[in-house]
Amino acid sequence: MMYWHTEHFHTLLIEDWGDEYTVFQPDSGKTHFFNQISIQILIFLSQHPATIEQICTVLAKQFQQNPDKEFTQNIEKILHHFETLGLVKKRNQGNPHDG
Amino acid sequence: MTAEKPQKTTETSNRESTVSTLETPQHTRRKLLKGAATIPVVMTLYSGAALARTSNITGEAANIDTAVFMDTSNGPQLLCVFPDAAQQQISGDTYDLGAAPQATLIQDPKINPIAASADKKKLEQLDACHAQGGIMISAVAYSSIMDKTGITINSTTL
Amino acid sequence: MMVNQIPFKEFHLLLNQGLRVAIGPFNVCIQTTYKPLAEQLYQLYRHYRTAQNEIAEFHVRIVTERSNKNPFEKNVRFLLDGQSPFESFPQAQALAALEWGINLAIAVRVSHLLLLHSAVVEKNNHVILFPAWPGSGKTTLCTVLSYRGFRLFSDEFGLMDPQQGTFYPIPRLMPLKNESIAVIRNYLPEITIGKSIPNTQKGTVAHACPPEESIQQSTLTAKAKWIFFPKWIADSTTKIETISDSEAFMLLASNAFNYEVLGAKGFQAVAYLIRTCNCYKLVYSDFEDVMATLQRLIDET
Repeated sequence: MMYWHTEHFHTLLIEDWGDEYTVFQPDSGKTHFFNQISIQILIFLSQHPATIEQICTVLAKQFQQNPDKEFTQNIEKILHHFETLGLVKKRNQGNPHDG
Repeated sequence: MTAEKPQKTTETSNRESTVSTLETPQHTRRKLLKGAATIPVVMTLYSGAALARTSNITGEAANIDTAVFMDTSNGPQLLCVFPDAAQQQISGDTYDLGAAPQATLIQDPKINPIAASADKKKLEQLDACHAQGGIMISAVAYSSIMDKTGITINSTTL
Repeated sequence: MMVNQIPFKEFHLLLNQGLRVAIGPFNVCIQTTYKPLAEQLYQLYRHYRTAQNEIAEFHVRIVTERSNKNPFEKNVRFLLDGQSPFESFPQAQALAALEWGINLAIAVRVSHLLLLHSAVVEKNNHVILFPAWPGSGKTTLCTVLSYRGFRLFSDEFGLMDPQQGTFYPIPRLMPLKNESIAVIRNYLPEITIGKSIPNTQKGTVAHACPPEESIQQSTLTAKAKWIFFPKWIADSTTKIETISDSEAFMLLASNAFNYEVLGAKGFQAVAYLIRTCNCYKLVYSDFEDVMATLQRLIDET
């Protein structure tokens, strides 16, 4: 099972502009703009590692969406982008709390 | 920082949100992104652009993901620009590209953009660029310099 | 002592050795033996305070050298702490080279302040920022405002102390370009503008003197209250449009010279500005119209 989890989430500085966010990432020195759904992914993953299916289920419910193929693809795409930015990592294991 | 006006800052280190009761300026809740609320969006800010806009002085791109790669028939090739040797470079973090910036495209190693090795090979192209005395620049710095003076790319493989 | 209290002969001698002038929060030591530049500086720097016995943050020089292209011609070269960041310039462009050079020195050397690429004026003890890229008309607008009831902080730099949230004035010569030169000469015939310098990298340039009062009050800092992202469009009526905080944040941060250098401090400083200021996009062409609009907004808030 592939689990996603955040990297150094506690170090991020987050400014809330009302459903839109600017985030400073000290590790890279970069500033990112997030919309509501993208920040929710990060917040969810900061609480516990999750699989893509788990993330999609929670977000689809939260944003009243159908967790269809397109929705899942968008989430998957952003996770890979987060990974490139060093905001999340994935781990391949049975129990996410073991490692 | 002494904030007199409202603060609404999320400190992720302690997961607290503080919102002052003071009146905010007439801040609009209009969004930067219109619609598409259910599509996750992340945009990364590329700074240093202001400096590039006023001169051909720029910094090296922060990382390989922000560097400029040209699509060629031999795959993506890193745009490697050269600080102007005729100028004394004035600080360690900024480079003067001179009045007529020169660049080359790094051809080796060849990159297959869909292969798993693409990232590693991009870094190897960067090493090759550094070995020639060049630097990578961000896409924003590139477009800014192109607007002003252009960049001469010395390559036959475009 | 003010520059205009020194006889030209003495001023020229000081320039030969290194004249120190107070420009906002910095002292700049200017050294040149090129007399035509000394004459221009004597006219345009006349309201600045000399700071001969104080520490100078920047040491700049304009030196003459033989042209590579034509050995019978001489060029000038700008030096910052003895190093040359630019190609040489024709002699006639000495003043432009000096002014650009000082700007560059500030842009690359100042790292304790957030440096916004912005025109800045003050009204009612509050700073108004006009962050903009070259070609937006910010110098022209700033020149008009600074001679029509607004105090000039800068036509180029918003110097913000990230700890205090205050802006430092740095009133410098305002380089009008191309059509703006005639526009300002007609609109503000009373002000001192240096002679036009043609064929520079930015076309023809002429430097407008800052108002004397703005230079005299250049130790008085203030906090920002309004941010206008300006755009000059020929024949347009003045339009003000509020923009979202997140958009204003991204625009302002990408407009700063040293945002990334400051790291978290830069992020917090920009966030503070957005939280404490009213942010707008401004389209204008008519000076009277834009001044009336700004005044109305200022009065309302």
